[in-house]
Amino acid sequence: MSIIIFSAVRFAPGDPAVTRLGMEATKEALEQERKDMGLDKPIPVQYFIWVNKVFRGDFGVSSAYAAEHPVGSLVLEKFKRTIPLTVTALLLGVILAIPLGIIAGLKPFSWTDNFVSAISLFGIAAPSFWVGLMLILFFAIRLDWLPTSGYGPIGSGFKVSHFVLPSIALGIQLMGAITRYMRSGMLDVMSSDYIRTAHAKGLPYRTVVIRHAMKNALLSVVTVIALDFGALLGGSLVTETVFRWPGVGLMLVEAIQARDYSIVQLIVMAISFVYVIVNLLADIAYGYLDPRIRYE
Amino acid sequence: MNETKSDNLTINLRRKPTSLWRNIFRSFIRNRTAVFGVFIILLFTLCAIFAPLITVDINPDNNRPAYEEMDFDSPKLPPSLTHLAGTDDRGRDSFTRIVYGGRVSLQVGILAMLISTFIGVTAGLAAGYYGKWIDSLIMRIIDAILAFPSLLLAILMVAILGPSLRNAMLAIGIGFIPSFARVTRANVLSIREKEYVESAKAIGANSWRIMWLSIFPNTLSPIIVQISLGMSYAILIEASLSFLGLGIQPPTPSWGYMLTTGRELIEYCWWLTVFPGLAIFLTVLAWNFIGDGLREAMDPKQIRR
Repeated sequence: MSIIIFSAVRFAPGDPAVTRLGMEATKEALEQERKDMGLDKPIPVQYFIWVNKVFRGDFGVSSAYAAEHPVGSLVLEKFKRTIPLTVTALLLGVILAIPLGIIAGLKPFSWTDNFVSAISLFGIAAPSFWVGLMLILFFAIRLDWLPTSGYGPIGSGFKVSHFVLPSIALGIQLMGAITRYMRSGMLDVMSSDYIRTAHAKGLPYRTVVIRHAMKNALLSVVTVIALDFGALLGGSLVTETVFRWPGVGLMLVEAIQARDYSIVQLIVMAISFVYVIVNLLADIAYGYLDPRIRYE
Repeated sequence: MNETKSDNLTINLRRKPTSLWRNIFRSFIRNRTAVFGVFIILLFTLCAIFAPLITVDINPDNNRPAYEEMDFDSPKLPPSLTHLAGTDDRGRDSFTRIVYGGRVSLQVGILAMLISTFIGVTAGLAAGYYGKWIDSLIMRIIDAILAFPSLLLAILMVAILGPSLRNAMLAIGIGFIPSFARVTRANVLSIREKEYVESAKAIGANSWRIMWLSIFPNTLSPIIVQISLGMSYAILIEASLSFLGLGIQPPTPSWGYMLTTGRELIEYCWWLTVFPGLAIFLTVLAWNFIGDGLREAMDPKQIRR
């Protein structure tokens, strides 16, 4: 396990060096600027300079924003807007998916199960940005209940009504996947010996389902949630563009279009870092929840 | 007398031995949702191949392809019999553009899967068969790729290489190498110890031959399942990339890019966001159905029944 973290962390900063390579490829008018930015040095040298700077908390200067704005604080500002969105979506997905998955898993192939499976398949197959567009179409334009986009009314700060649609669009995607895993987890668990034992010793159905079955079915779901967290992060990049939500995703897209590599590499690195950490936490949680698994 | 009787046990000697693949095929076509998936994919594929035949080029004399044919007299028309999915702001027929956009989706899906299957399976075979430092090296690289969410990896690579259809395919393909490598490796590890591999070694077959002729055919079924599920993700990611303007560049239409146009006009033309998205949704759904159907059909627990 330590090897995985080591290699992941080792790899993460190595990759922006490749991003710089991309800059080398489009060097026409940048000749003078490249010299100023130290890009005329050999790639490995640049890489070490960059790593050295990162460890001192200096993420370089963006080419699009003014020099007095350090990239680090710019990106941090955007992260503060993206994180509430993904966390709400995550909670929404989990809260909806777990009961749905349990209901479906208890009565496989019944009409409730088919109905739940249909919902979860919709969540899996419909791209979150399209779901977002459909939500805008229906709730914002047809019904005029909620605003179509942005962080808040123009000129003022954040407003909750702007937050609702993007988090639902993201949550639906996650819900689909988790429901599915919860269902199959319940199916596996319900046919196991200890559930039969629990029934046999006369425990009420409710207790068997909640105390014995759900707890064990959740085990397999924990790791899946962590893996799907990656899809959630990716989805938030696109969904932010749909809703013009001024977070990391919108910033990344704009930075790519502007070929602003210091911002691109920092955002990609930060998101991957979050992703790796979440997966690490899931692994630890898994060992904690299931005492049979012991890490050396 | 074709039947032998002994102790109430009837063995029908006339029955042909059932082959593995025939069993899989049989239980696959019994699965209604999987067959529905195949139907949709076939329909979309035929539409993509015969796109010029099922769409109308309103002005065949100019050099513009049918999907770029603009009719400024009829912009932003809602769906009707002449324009099945309406027209966009430049009077281009949306249905035509969706049909041609299907070509992009299909192309990206197939080529991305070819790249990832080829590299992933080779890496997985080598890692599982040779073990030791080759295994560690390959799996560390795989772990490193896995450290990125797949869409982010694709966005990053396209940002470096520049947006184009070829780069989008490459980026998506590389993102799926880990899943193929892992599936293959896990299978190789269990197959490597089988008697038939040992016998192949005993008669002096070289590693290359053992890997591809003795081990590889027995890892096929999980790989095939992986391919069809991978197709659905590849199409989803391609749509996301082109929605962000990082996929194939205009004028060639793609479903994702059509949604970008639709987003701009969402307050006036609902059909520009509904139909391209529906096309993505149905394709992804169909590949999911096929993948699930294959998984069920190839599940050894089910075959033994």
